[in-house]
This record gives sequence, structure tokens and C-alpha cells, in this order.
Amino acid sequence: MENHHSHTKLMELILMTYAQIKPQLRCQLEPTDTGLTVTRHGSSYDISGLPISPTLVSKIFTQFNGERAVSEVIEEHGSVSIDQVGMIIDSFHESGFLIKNVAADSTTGLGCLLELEDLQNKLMYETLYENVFWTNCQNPEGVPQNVFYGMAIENYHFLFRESWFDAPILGLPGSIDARVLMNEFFCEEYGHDELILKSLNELGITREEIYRTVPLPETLALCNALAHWAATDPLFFFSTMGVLEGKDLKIDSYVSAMEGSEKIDDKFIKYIRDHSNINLNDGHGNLSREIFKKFPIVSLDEVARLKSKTHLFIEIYDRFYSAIWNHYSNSSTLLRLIEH
Amino acid sequence: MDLSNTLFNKPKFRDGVTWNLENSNLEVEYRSQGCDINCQDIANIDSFTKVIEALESGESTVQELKKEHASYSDELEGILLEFDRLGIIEEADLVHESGSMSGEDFYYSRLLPCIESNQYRLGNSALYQKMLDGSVSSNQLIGFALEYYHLVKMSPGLIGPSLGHEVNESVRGQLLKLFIEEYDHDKMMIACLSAVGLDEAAILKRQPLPTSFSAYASLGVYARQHLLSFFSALILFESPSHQFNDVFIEACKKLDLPSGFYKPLVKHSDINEDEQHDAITGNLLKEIQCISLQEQNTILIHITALIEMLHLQDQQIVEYYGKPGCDLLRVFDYA
Repeated sequence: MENHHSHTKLMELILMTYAQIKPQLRCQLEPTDTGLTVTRHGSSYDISGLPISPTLVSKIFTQFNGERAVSEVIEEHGSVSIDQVGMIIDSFHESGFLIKNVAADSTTGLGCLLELEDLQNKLMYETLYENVFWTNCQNPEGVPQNVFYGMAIENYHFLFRESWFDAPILGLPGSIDARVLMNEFFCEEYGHDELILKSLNELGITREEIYRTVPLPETLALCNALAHWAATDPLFFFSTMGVLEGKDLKIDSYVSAMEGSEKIDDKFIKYIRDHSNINLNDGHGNLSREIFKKFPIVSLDEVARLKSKTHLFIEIYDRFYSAIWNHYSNSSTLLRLIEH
Repeated sequence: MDLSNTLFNKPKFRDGVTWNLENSNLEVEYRSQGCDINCQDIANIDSFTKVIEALESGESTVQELKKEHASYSDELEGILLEFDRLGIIEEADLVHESGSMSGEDFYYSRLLPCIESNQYRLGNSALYQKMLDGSVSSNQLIGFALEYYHLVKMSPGLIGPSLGHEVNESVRGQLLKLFIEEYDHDKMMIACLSAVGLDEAAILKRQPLPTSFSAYASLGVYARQHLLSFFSALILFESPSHQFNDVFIEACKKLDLPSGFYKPLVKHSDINEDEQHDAITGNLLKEIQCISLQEQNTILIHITALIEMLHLQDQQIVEYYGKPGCDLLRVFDYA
């Protein structure tokens, strides 16, 4: 009984391993008197000692086109057992004559991004859009002047470090098309910090001073988180770009809040508005999407992993804005200059 | 930058979107992302209802919708953009490209055949050939060891960057193990080289041959910048050959090189075999669920060039260290 039981178990395992896979033959087969001649890329190999007749092997295996399950094919050849075919599949597989074609559940790059965007939106509506910075911007007249200026300072620090966090991704080997797009984007982004600096100049802040200024830790944290992901998890990095470039925005709420507050000189707003319009008009918000379209396949395990990390990203992004409010609404000075 | 706004082929409301069209007012709800759209400009409300129903089923393309409702196709585009801005539509027609395969399939069906055919094309190693026919010199054998020393010395730095990537637990475990096993072997190599009278202080200052450096640096760059190429390249560095070791020992003995020179070297190579280092590429690639066709090709490009560089390295060892009076140390000291 015991024996019979373990035999059944083994058969179940074999069935599980082989019956449902849809292998794909990647060579030509020619039965000979003693076995098979296998030809691949112009090289031929002779195979003998097959557990079933070479003609039958050839008949069965030439039907493995990546579309038909093993069980379906061998049903047409009554006398053949699945474990015999399984043995040959294994040996062909390890010789590179056939791929097992065990497809992980997957989606396309675009399918992956649309799922991530859905989660990003949910989390942003729940947290970021409800945070102290953005809720206060709804009533611009109550926003202290320094918060508007502080936002520009921190935004400058962020844009100034764009090469810092984009650089690791510029050599991306996983997709040639995505790399080309990313490089184009980087070239367009280059120098945007200078626009913000012009606004800061209007407040009397000089380049020399800003070079000696410490960003809020939350700002540098955002830059470094992005640099880390660019170097270690390119797909995740790309997924953050839609959020950072304002995919879902049609106006820049920060610019409108400054305009509505009636306490900020238009000379200051002007350059920030120019920068914001570049992003809106150039469709930089769509960059994530264009890039993800270049990735033909993403496994569902990978999608799940990226989703779980999305929580962390939105938390870090949320803290970036909240920190601006918390610091600049309570600080009479604008610059955190290094002391020595 | 030419970034299109037409992302969708067949737009479809996300699961959970509800809508109500009443008195020329369309109310769409989805979590907190809903909207009200005033449809007074759209004369034919029945036809607009069809549009919304089509978005619910996801069966029509944007082009079809615009054609069927040509009288307000511009408004339609605006409405779709607004829906997208709110994040309430997805794509019902995702196009899957062919040619992707699992890491395991890639390993057996593309990587191994690519390595084999390239190694076959390039033929035997010049050094191996010289060891076989007895024409190898002491300097060439010592030179081989000197170049190998650089690989061992650089190893932690080459492997290290691979540990920073986002990988699963099995891959992480394998990479950590590799890192730990390769650690400190440079000390052993220095002992080998001092057995043939080479001074440690000089070895520490020496420069490798350009071909050695290029091959090793490639491995490190892949570890940092393209993990799948790194996984695939490891097999080229971690496959010991008993045949090579035996011939190497014989050649050393014949030239009266001390056992303190060749024994530890061969032992290190055996460590690689005991630890099954040569299986590492297959074991790592087995953990990768899918690799797109383009990325497979990128890996094969890197691996083909690396095989060629390793072949050039072998040739350069024979040439450089074969020259009478060659500078074994290659120390370019400006201090």
C-alpha cells in the first residue's frame, strides 16, 4: 500500500510538472536508424537510447510549438506515458533544444504601471493631498509667505540634484528604448534649477548662499531614495516619475496658491510658473507611461513587489511637503546655512 | 520631447467606477477621485450614454468611439483626458510581445549555447596550448598567477555592488555566499607569488594587464548596472577545469617552480568546484521569472564580448610574459 501510495504521489508530481506546460521546440529533429539527429543553428547532434521510438519522439516533439500543453499533445499518442516524455523534455531542456516555456503570470509594462498608478492615486488622495501643506494651500491667504519661499528653496534643492538621482538610470541596459527616452528627458530637465534660482535671486538669495544651504532632511531623503531606486530598482524608479512630474495635474496648485495669496510678488512667481508650464506643456507627466510601454513583460510577483514599495514612496513624498510647512511656517529665516 | 497623450487603445473604467447620467449631468464616482461633467454641449445624450457604456465594457477603441460620435469627438477626447487625469480608466487591450522567457529557459536555450559556440569559434587557449606542448615559460605561468591575483583582489569590489540590487531571498543568499567565499583569497595568492620571490609590497602596487583589467572591470560593471549580465558572466569566471589544473601543475613541475607557488592556486580553483561555483549562473537565473527578448539579447552581447576579452587576455598573458626580460611587476611608481 505504502509503495502504491508514494507511486501515486510521484505520478501526481510528474503530472503537475509536465502535463500543463507548453514547451517550445527550438531545433529540428530527424529520426535515424538508431536514434535522432538534432540540428540547431547549423550544428547537429546524434541522440540514442531514447525511452520511446525516435519516430514517435519526433512526431510528439515537433508539435511542441509553445501553444499546446504536453497533456494535449500526448493524448493523441495513446501508448506514451507522461513520465517518459517528461524525461526527454528535461534532457532536451538542459541541452537547450527546447524551452519549457513555464510562463510566470505576467502583464505588460503598461499594465503594471496602470496598476501602480491606481495605488499611487489612492494613497495620494488619502495622505498627500490631505497633508498640512496642501490643505493649507487651499486657503492661500492664510499661508505664511515663508512657506511659499521655502517651497521654492526645497524645490531648488531637489532640481539641483536631478543628476544625482537620474544618473544611475541613464545607462539602463534592460530596455534600449526606455534608456533613449530617459536620456532625452534628462537633457530637457537639465538647467531647470536655474529657473527657480532666478526666483530666489528676487528675494536677494545668491547662488553662493544656496550652495552653502542645507536642504531639509526630508528633501535630501527624497533625492537619496530616488538615487537608491535608480541604482537598484529601475522599474520602481520609473514608476515614481509620473507622480513627481505631476501626471495628474492640469494646473500647479502651488503656483495658483501663490497667485491667490496676494502676498507674493509676481517677479518671484514668474520663473516658477515658467518651470511649471514647461512640465505641463511638455507632457513630462506622461514620461513614466511612455517608458513603461517599452517594457514588454512584468511578472505579477514583480507588480506586487512594486506596489508594496509604492507605500514607502508616497510616505516619503508626503513627508517632503509636510516638512516644508512644518519648518517654514515656524521659521523667520529662510536659509539653513552651514555654520563653519 | 515627443510624448503622446494617447495612451489608451481600448479605454475601460477601472473596477469600482460607478456612474449616473441624468439631466445632462454625468456623475462618475471612484473612491475620492470622482467628478461631475456637464454634458449640455453634447446634443445627443443617448449617444453619449453609449460612450459611457463602451467605457464600462472596454470593448471599443478610442478611434472607434471618435468615429461613431464624430459630432463631439473633440469633447470626447477632453473627457477621456479628464477621466485619465482622475485615474479612473485603464487599458482593456494590453498587447503582449513574444520572445520573453524564464531565466531557466534562457540559461539552457540561449546562454549556454552562446557560450559554447563562442568558445568553439575562438578555439583553445594559447596558454593551455603552450602548457600542453611544453613550450610555456616560467614567466608565463607566473604571469598567469599574477593576473589571477588581480581578479581575486578585486573580487569583493566587483561582487559587492550586486548586493545592493532588489532581489529575492534566494538570490540575495547566493550572492552573499559568493561574496563571503571570495573574501581574503588575495592573501593566499600573495603567499603563492612570494614563493617565486615576488615581494608583497610590489604586488600591491602593480597594475594588471589591460585585458585582465577590462575583463574584471566588466564583471563589476555588470554587478553594478546589469544584474542579469552579471549572473550570466559568473559562469565564465567560476568554471574550474581539472584538465587545466593538471596541465598547469605538470608544467610548473617541469619548470621546477616551487609547490608553494602552484598548490594553493590549484586549491583555490578546487574550492570553486567544491562549492559548486560553476552552477551559480544557472541557479541565479532560475530565480528570474521572465526576461524580455531585448534584454536577453543585451545579455548575450555582453557575454560574447566578455568571452572575447577573456580570450584576448589569455593571448596577452602569453605575449607579454613571453617576451625576454619582460617586467613581471608592472609597478609604475611615481612616489
